[in-house]
Amino acid sequence: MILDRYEIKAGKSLTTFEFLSEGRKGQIVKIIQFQQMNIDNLYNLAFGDKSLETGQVDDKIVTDNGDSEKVLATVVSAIYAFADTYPESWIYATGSTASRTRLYRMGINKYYEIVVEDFEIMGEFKNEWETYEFGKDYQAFAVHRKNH
Amino acid sequence: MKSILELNETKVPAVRIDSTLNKYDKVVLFPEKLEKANAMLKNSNLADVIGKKYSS
Repeated sequence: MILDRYEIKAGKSLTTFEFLSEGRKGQIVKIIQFQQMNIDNLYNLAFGDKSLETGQVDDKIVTDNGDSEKVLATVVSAIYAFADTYPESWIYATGSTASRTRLYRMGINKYYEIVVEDFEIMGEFKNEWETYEFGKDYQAFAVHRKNH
Repeated sequence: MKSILELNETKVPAVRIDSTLNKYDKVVLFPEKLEKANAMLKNSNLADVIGKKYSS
């Protein structure tokens, strides 16, 4: 199944991606960055809106542009692009708020059958990492491209 | 070489390279998020889990 998603563009290192969300509040620039963490080959997934006026980014804003499924599918596509470019990488994700972490969890559950074909998925539960299971209240997630 | 249309039918998207985004390559755009992620990492066993998977 191929999900409806926005076209993405990136800088030459393919660590920062940008796309245009189009919805009931108009056009909003979204930016995704894979940030090197304190462990080799571990990258933090950060995601937010970019102001066209100031260029400032905000990862706590609730845009409510009515296209959240398409946005989520676009973030997933950026993960594919990044992981194919950096096949040794692990991608770490946690929400900037508890509700956003819950949204990430819902997103993983929604696309689990697609993503698990290509990625190993881990979840952090009570400070312990384990293979991802449905229904668990994970605090954070980590994924790694399979077959590399 | 696959066309953009063919690439867009795959899970791996066609990504347009935009040189105006190169300026972000060395910039941490969400520093608070990175700081929080690294802090969470300190109290977890993720490094061990990743290390074991690499060595297996």
